[in-house]
Amino acid sequence: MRVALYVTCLVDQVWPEVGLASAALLRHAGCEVLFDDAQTCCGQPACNTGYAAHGRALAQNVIAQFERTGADALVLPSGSCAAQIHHYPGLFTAMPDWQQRATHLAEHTFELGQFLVHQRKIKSVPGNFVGTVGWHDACHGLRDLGICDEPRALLKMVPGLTLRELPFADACCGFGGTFAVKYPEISVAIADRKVDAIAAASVDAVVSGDVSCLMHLRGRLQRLGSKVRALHLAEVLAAGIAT
Amino acid sequence: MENFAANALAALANPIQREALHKATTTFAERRLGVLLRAPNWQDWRTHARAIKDHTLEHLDYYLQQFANNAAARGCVVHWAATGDDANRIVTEITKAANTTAAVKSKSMTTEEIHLNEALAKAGVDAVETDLGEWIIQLAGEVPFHIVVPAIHKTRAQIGQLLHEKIGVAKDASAAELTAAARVVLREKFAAAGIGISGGNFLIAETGSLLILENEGNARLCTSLPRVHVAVVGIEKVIPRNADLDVFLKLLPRSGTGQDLTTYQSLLTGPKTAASHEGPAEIHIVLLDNGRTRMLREPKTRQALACIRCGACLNACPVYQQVGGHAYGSVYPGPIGAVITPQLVSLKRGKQLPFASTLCGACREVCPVKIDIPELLLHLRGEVLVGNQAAKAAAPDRLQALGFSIWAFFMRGKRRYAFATTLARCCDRMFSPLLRHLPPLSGWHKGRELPRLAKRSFRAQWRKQG
Amino acid sequence: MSDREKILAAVREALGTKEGAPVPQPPPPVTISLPLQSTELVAHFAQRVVAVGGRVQRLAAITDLLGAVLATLHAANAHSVVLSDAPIVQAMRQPLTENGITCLRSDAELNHLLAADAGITTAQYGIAETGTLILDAGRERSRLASLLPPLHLCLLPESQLLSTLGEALRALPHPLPYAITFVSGPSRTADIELQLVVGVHGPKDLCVLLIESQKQH
Repeated sequence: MRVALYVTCLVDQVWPEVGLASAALLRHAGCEVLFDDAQTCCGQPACNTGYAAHGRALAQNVIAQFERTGADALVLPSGSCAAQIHHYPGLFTAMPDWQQRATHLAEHTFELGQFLVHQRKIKSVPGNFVGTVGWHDACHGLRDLGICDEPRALLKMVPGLTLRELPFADACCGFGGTFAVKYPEISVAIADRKVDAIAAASVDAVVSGDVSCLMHLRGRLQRLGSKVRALHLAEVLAAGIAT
Repeated sequence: MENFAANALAALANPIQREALHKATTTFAERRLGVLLRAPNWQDWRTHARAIKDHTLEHLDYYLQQFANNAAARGCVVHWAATGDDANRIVTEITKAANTTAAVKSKSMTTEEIHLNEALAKAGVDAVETDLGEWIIQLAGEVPFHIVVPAIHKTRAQIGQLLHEKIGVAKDASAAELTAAARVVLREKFAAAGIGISGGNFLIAETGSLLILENEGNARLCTSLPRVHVAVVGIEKVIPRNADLDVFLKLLPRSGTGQDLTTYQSLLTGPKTAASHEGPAEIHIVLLDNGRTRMLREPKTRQALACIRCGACLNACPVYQQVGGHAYGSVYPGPIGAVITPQLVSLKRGKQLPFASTLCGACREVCPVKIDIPELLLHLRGEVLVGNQAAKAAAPDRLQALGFSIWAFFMRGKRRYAFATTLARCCDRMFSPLLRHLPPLSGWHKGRELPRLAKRSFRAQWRKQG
Repeated sequence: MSDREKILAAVREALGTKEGAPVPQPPPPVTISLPLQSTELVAHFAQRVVAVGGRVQRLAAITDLLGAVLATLHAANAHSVVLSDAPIVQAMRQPLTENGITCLRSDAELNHLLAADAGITTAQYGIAETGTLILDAGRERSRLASLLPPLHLCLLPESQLLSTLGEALRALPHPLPYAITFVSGPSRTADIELQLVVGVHGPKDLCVLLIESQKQH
C-alpha cells in the first residue's frame, strides 16, 4: 500500500521527530511512504479563526497534491488536521467539482493511529517505552473522527509501557488555536485542570495524537517545572528505534 | 457583552466563584452521565427530538397559526410581539387592565432577554421573581449566572448575608433554613399577587397548550393563584403534538440536571371554564419574535432555534467552567449563548463571543437536540470578520486580518513556504527572547513556555535520508 | 397589517414559503421507552417514587384507607387538611372530622388554605417508569390541595398505573382539560450550593397511597 504522509506544518517545523516516527510506523505496517515536499499547512488555523477563503485556497493545494502522488491513502499524525481535511467538502459548497475532489480526498484520509489499527490491523509496534503514560483525547480526533480506543490499544502493544487512564481524559486542554493567544489566561486555566489530572494520575508522560495540544501541555508543564513529559503517540510507539 | 475578555479576567480572579462553578459543572455533568446509563437509546432520542424541531421550524408559520388558533379557541388571549419592547408594552398593558401592581414571576429566560422586570418597574409594577435562585439574583441586583441554577456562583454564606440584610434571617442559616425563610416571604407575595408571569418550555400546536417544567412549584403557584396569567414565549418553542412531549420531557432534565423528569410539568390549556375550577380567569400568551425570524433564514443558523434551554452545554464547556455566566455579559451564557446572543442582540455587540471557545466540541456532544454549536461559532466568526471588513475595524482586528493574509500567502507554494520557514528559523534563533514579548507570541508566553523551531525541519531530514 | 400577520410574514419570508402551503406531516412519533411488564408496574412505580424523594404505602383494600390516612396525618402532626372534591376523598370528611382533624374544601379562603397542614387528592394516573402522578384538574379540584400544604397525600388505585410517559400522554383526555399537572416527588430546589432542599414552594412530603383493589375510582 502506498501512503502519502502529510506531516502537518507544526511537525515539519517544530516537532520533526513525530514525522520520522510516523514514517517508521507506516513502514513497519508494510506501507510504502511518500512525502510530497510541496505540502505546507492544511488551512485549519484560518478556517477556525473565520477566514474560510484562505482555508479554501490551502485546501485546494492539499487536494491537488494528493491527486498528484496517486497514493492509496493520506495519513496524518494529527487528529485535528485529519478532521480539517474531513471538513474540506463543506468549504466547496459553491464549487461542485472541487467538492467532489475534496470528498474523494476525505474518504482516503486517516489519522495515524486509526490507520494503523483499522486499515493495517497491526498487532505489534516496533518501539519500547519503560514507564507509565496517560492518554489525552485531543478534541477533534475524539469528537470529529471518533478516535478513542485505537490509541489506547496501540499503547498497550508497547513493551514496558503501562497505560493509566487520566481523570477526564476527554476534556479539552485549552489550546483552541488562536484562542490560546486571544484568551491566554482562560487557556492556561483550562490547561491547569488537565495538569492537575496528570499529576493526580502520577504518570511519567502524557501522550496524545495532536502536536498542537501537546505543545500547549508541554509549554505549561515546563513553565510549572513539572517532570512529566508530553509526547506524541508516534514517538512512543516508535520509541527507541532508529528513525 | 462588549467586554468578554475583561469580564473573564475578573471571573478568573474570583476563587470562591471558581470553586462553586467547578462543583456545579462537574456535579451536573456526572449526574447527566448517571441517567444516561438508564437510557440505552439516548442517541435515538436526540435524533428524534431534533427531527421534530427541524420539522416544526421548517413549517413554523403553520404551527404558530395552529397553536394560536387552538389557544384562542380555548379562551387564551394570544398576543404577537415583534420585539422585546413590544412584548414589554403588551405585558404592561395586561397588568394595567388587571388593575394590579403586584406580579409574581416564575423563572423565564425569555423575560430576562427582554428585560421585562425593568419595564414593569417603570410602570409601577413590582414583579417578584419566585424561583429561589432567581429571587436571590433579583435581591442581589444581578443577572443569572447559569440558565438552570441562576445563583450557583454564590456561597451559602453570601446568600445568608444577603437575606440577612433583606429579610432578617440569621447570617449563618443553613440552606434549609434560608429556603424555608424564602418560602414564607414568597408565600405572601403569591397571596397578594394580581398577576402571574411565566415563560414556557413548549407550546403544543394541536391543542393550544402551554407546558412549563420546574422543580420548585413556584411556576404552579404563579399559574394557579393569581387571577391573570401571562406567559411570554419565543416563537421557536412550538411543537406539533402532545405526543412529542414524550421525548422532550425526558431529554431536557436528563441533560440539564440529571433528573429523569423535573418534579413538575404543568400542561395548561386555556383559563378555567367553570366557577368551581381552580386557576386563572384569564390567560395571555405573548408570542415573541425579537430576532428569531432572522435566525430562521439560513438552515445553519436556524438550528440554534432548536435549543430547549437545558444548560448541558454550559456544564460541558471548558471555557464556561472557568469563567462562568457573567463573563458573557448576556442573559444566555456559555456556548449556546455565544451563538444566540450575537444573533438576537447584534453581531457587533456580541462579536467577542464566537471567539470565546476552544471549539472542542463538548457542547455538541452533550446537546440533547444535536445543535452543532462549533459549526455555528465558526460561521459567526466568519460573519464577524466580514463585518470587520465592511465597517472600520479596530486596529488589532485589522492587524490579525493582515497577519492571516500574509500567512496564507506564504503557505501557498513550496518556495514561499521554504522562504518563510527559513526566515522564521533565523528569527527564532536570533530574536527568540524578544519575540516572546511581542504579540501574538506574548499571549502564548503568558503561562506557557514557547516551543522553539526544530534545528532541522522534517523535510530537511527527509531529503537527507533520501 | 396586524402584529400577527407581520410576524407570520417574517417567518414565511425567512423560510421562503407561501401562505397556504400544504399541511405538513410531522415525523411519526416513536416509542421512546419500552413498556414494562404489567407485573412489574407496582414495584417499579414505588421504587421510582422513592428515588425522587416521595414515599409509597400499599393498601390491600379500600377499607384500610382511613386508617392509613389518619396514621400519616398523626405522624406528620397534621391537624388541618384540604380535601379535593374527589368522591373517595370527600367520603373521608366525616370520619376525619370525628377524629379531630379540621377539613377544608379546596375553595376555602386562601389564607386558610395556606395555613393547612396537609392536602388529600387522588391522582388520575401513575407512571411506573418515572414514579409520576398525573393530576387532572378537569376531573378533580386538586391543584391547590396538592400544592399549598407541606404534606400531600395522594390516593391512587393500582389499576390506574401506566407503564411509560408515552402511554400516559396518549391516555390524556381529548380535548385536554384546562390544567394537568405531572408530579414526580416533593417540591425541591438545589439553588443554594447545590444542596437539595425539599418543600421550597410546594409540599416537602409526598405520600402516595396505592390501593390494591380494583374499581375504586
